[in-house]
Amino acid sequence: MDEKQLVASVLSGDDGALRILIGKYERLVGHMVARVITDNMDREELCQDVFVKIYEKLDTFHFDSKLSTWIATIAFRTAVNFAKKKRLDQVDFDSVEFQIPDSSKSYEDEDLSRFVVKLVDQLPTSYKLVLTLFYLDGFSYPEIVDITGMPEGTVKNYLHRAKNKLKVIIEEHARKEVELV
Amino acid sequence: MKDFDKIVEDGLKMETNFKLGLDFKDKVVKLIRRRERISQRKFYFLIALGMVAIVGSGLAVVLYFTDIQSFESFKQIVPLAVLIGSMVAGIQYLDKKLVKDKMFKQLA
Repeated sequence: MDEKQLVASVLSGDDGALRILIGKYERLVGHMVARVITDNMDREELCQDVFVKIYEKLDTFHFDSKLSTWIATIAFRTAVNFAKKKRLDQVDFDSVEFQIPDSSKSYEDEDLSRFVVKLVDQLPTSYKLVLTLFYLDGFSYPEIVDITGMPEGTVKNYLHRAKNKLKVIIEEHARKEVELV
Repeated sequence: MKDFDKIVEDGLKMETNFKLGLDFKDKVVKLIRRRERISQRKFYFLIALGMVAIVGSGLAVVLYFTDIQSFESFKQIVPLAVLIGSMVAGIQYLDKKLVKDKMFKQLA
């Protein structure tokens, strides 16, 4: 079933098609929501809200963009609004004070990658979401511009700054490790 | 020498540990259908309320301007009030479906 048929079936009230649509995009929605909220119950509730919104607005989607981009847009807005409502996003990028784990331990590369995930969680919401869209969900710059409504320069700047900052912290952490050895 | 670019990129590509439950799809479908049923009930309730209000006001107008002496003559004007009420409700419904819904979709 292609996406046009799938959307038409969902709009005609087919529960099976609705389940297929949810199954196809729950990973994408889950990524966006999980980046913003830490509590699993809240995460599931917000994912439900996103899919209810998707269903309610589906008749306004006319395939002007990819379905995944449109769904990501709804997930992005819902996640950002939730963060604002719950005041989860009180700091800007430059004033983030990263909590660094104990540098006396030795980390393998895979552990360092997990450490990166923990650092990403400490970034402001918009940075986290842009990084997730680019690296985890594989959206292109123009697609992220569509999803977030940010100018392309801002998207590139967010990715560049965040990646550099993470790299500096990881390098510094690894250097401390070497010094201790 | 560690390749820090790769370490950072690998970290950024790492899946979150959050997984939605196997019954998530069913929960969402149930939630959507339940909300639809509630909104449909609200819609029918409002239609019924509107019909009662329209027929009631139709009756009130007819009763005000006519001199009804017996229950028989009152019974005669009821179908007229129902007809007027139904026509007004029908026009309102068609106006919503054919004009206002399209207008709101265009605005959205």
